[in-house]
Amino acid sequence: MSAQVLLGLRLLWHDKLRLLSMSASVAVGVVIIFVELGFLWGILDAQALVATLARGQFLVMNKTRADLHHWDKIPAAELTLFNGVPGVAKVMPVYEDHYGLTDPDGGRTVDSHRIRRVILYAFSPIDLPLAVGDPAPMSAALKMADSFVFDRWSRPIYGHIVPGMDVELDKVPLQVSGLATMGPDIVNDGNVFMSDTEWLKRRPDAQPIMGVVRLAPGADVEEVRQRLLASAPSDVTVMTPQEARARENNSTLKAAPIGLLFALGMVAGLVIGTINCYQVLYTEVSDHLGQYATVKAMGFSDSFLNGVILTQALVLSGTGFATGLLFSIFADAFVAWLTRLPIQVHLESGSLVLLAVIASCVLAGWMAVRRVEAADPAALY
Amino acid sequence: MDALPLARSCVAVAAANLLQHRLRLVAALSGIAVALLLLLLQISVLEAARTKVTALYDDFNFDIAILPDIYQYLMSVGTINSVDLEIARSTGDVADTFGLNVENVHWMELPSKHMTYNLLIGIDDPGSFVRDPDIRAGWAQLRSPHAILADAYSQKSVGPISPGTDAQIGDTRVHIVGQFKLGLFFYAEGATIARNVNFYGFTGGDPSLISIGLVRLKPGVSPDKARADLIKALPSNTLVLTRDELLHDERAYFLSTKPVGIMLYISMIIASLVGAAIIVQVLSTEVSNRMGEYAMFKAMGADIPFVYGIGMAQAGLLGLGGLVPAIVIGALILSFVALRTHLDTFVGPSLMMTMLAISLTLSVAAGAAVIRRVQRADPAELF
Amino acid sequence: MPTVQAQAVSYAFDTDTTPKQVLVDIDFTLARGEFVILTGPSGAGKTTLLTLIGALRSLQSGSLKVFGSELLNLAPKGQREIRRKTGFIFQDHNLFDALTAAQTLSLAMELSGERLARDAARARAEALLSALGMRDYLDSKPGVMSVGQKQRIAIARALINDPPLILADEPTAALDSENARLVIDLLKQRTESDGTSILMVTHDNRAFHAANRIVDMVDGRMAKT
Repeated sequence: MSAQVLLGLRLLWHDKLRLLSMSASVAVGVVIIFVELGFLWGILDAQALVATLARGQFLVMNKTRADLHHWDKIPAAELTLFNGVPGVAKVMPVYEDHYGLTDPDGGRTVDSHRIRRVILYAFSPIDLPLAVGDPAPMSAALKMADSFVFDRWSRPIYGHIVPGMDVELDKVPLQVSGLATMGPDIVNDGNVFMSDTEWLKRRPDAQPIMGVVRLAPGADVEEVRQRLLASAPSDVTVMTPQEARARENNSTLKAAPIGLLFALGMVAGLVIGTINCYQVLYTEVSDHLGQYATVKAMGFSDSFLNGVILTQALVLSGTGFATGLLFSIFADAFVAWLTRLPIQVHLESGSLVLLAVIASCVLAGWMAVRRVEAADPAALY
Repeated sequence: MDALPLARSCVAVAAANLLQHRLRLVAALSGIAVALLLLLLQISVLEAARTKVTALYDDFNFDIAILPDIYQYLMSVGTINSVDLEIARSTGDVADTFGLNVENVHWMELPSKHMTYNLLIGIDDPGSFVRDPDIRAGWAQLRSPHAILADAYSQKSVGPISPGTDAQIGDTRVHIVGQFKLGLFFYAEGATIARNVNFYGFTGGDPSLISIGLVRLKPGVSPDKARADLIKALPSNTLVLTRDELLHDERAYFLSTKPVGIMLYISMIIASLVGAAIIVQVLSTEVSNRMGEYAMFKAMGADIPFVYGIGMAQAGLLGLGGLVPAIVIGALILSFVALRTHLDTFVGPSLMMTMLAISLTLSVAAGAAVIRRVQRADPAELF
Repeated sequence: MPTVQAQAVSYAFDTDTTPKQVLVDIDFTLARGEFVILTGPSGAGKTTLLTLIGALRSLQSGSLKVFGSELLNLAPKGQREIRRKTGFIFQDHNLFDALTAAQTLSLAMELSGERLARDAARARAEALLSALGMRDYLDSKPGVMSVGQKQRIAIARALINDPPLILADEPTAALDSENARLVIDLLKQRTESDGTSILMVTHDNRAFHAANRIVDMVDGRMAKT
């Protein structure tokens, strides 16, 4: 290892508490970036959750349904047409509607409302087209008559709801037969689930909101897609869950300036991280100015000292990133709990963030190097 | 030493200290400016959201709102029976009632047939209920069964909405005869107004049902008493709220239950902590590096307020120094956002005063955290 | 060839008002193996002369040759070469808190151009520290040392590469009598055994007996005593 890298490492490692403090300064910027990214991805993931949870290879929807938060339904008869398409194992209708759930605790949260809007999904308890819980208990819970399954990850405005309780749904008391795990989004606050039979008992004229198509084992996805499109009526669209997700993300970003807001937040995090890294390096150099001047007097070149500073900058980018990542996991988990959105650190973004942090710390190091250049060996006498 | 000359001396020394290392000062001010800029953006958007979520209700004069008990917020309403308005009138507290309908409908731009969604608002004769002058003026134009007013602040995605333009709501061709300014930014891409009688035609709804009943009380009647009377008189599937309660609930739901408000609050906390932390960091280095100088002041007999005052003045100068660029850049960004979205995010005097107060509070807090170290500056150690 | 040969060297500092002349027409020679002490009141120009000879400052006028190289208009690379052959002993030790004595000396040895094996480098460091009475602190950091002990490590740092020229500024100020004598004797020994030239600024009369010559400076000019 070169002498300048060794010196840089030793200078940082010598005072571990100080190294922690310096890393924490850099980590602040990293936390801001991951929290903003977490917000952005949390919103996008939540809005597209239904597509992500679909247990099938295709989604069939009304063509006029521009995104997953509108109510354009598709006639059940049109869904059944797809059953005959070669390669298709099942076409599973999913019903969706909104209901009023009466707070069993008598309404005590944010405002005076006792009845809370909740999204209801109904589907076959045998096919389970949406992955909202362990299949066996979910299936058993859905099969119970006069009951519904409550999404445990709904916002706390619904009151305390546990299995076995009677809760009014659309003013009809029903038993809570189990708990599912899905989560709300920025429009809807909570979800309940019912079997399609149970739902159609209450709404005989109900039409599905979409169909989830499950392919037979070994079926070629592209070939089946072409067949589905060929046999689809003109008012029906067929897309993969990934395509539905992408379309939803697009729609969400267009509808609100969240992209701009969170991007600004991320840039701010990067700037703050750079400035903090510069401040700590500047302090580090200032505290050792006499020593750096002595090293220059001994005959080491400016580039040797620059290498010492840059080594420290690179190490801080790594320790700052690691510290920031750790705090971000907790920060994102806390925000996820508060908002009930799927906010978490996306490790795919991790490498990009690390590169950005390295670049910003190198920039900070380059700025701090000017301070070293001010170390005048002649002033040592 | 008198307070004013003392303060001036503190500021002078503080400024000299900060200006000694200019690149570091610029870096520190940049960091503080970025943190304050973030704070400014978030406060502004939060305030704009707080105003915007009740924008439609702000266009109406009313004392009480009668809502379906499943009402959540403007985008999730339900219906009440129009008979409920008659019942309300029968209580004796009510001067007049008004039926307001809202529904999310398909909007098709013509001739492109590009589809979006639109909030269709149905109203009765404005009478004393409608405040907005454009809506009052537009009411007279809404004579024909296909006439509508369009929200001039609709997003571009809904297509052309100037008077004279045709479009389609559901399967019905409609004709834009005028405009109003609303900008239901967080709720819908666009909004339109029709007479209630035509509203039902566009939506295929039941004319005996309405979304929201607005009530004006007779002079001298207290809203709370009227609310209690109406709750007794009306069926149990209605929710009766005073105007203040409705607006409060609408804001509370959007900002406290929905995640956007929570996210903005968290971002504000982070930005505040970051700004304070940068000031603490710079001050700590300054104090550590100048302990000898502080000790010298003490040896010379300077008062403690003077010695502490230098550090606090540095903290204040840092906070104010970061605030100015934050406001300038923030005003530019927010003006751009305001022009694009019609959210009221322009930076006005009240927001500037808020930011000034925040920046000074952060500076004082940061300064207080660091300045106690000056106590340790020992003149005896100068020898 | 003398180690240092100065002819008509003058130097002025730029101040806010008028330039301040600190060296005026200095003629000075330091022979190989010679030990010279510079004395004089504060502001006489002693340390300025030291910084010029050590190529820590750029020469403004006159001729100053160190190891035969002319310092006037010398490029930074050339200045570094001079510095590498010079042992600097400053008033402040300026040791890195993070480095042990062995690591400090090892860093200095990087400049020697010799590629010493780790054991050999450590042995050399150990020998020099023993000569300075600091053998027991080979693997210690400055945090556990007194000011005098730190100064001896700094002196070892200056001597580790056997520089042909040593420029010292009050090297014994922080030392007690016994250690001051140790350092002076070691420096003197270097002049006799290795032909090292030493130019020392000091008011410590414990060092005077070791010098070959004492030069007095007043107001930027030299006089011999």
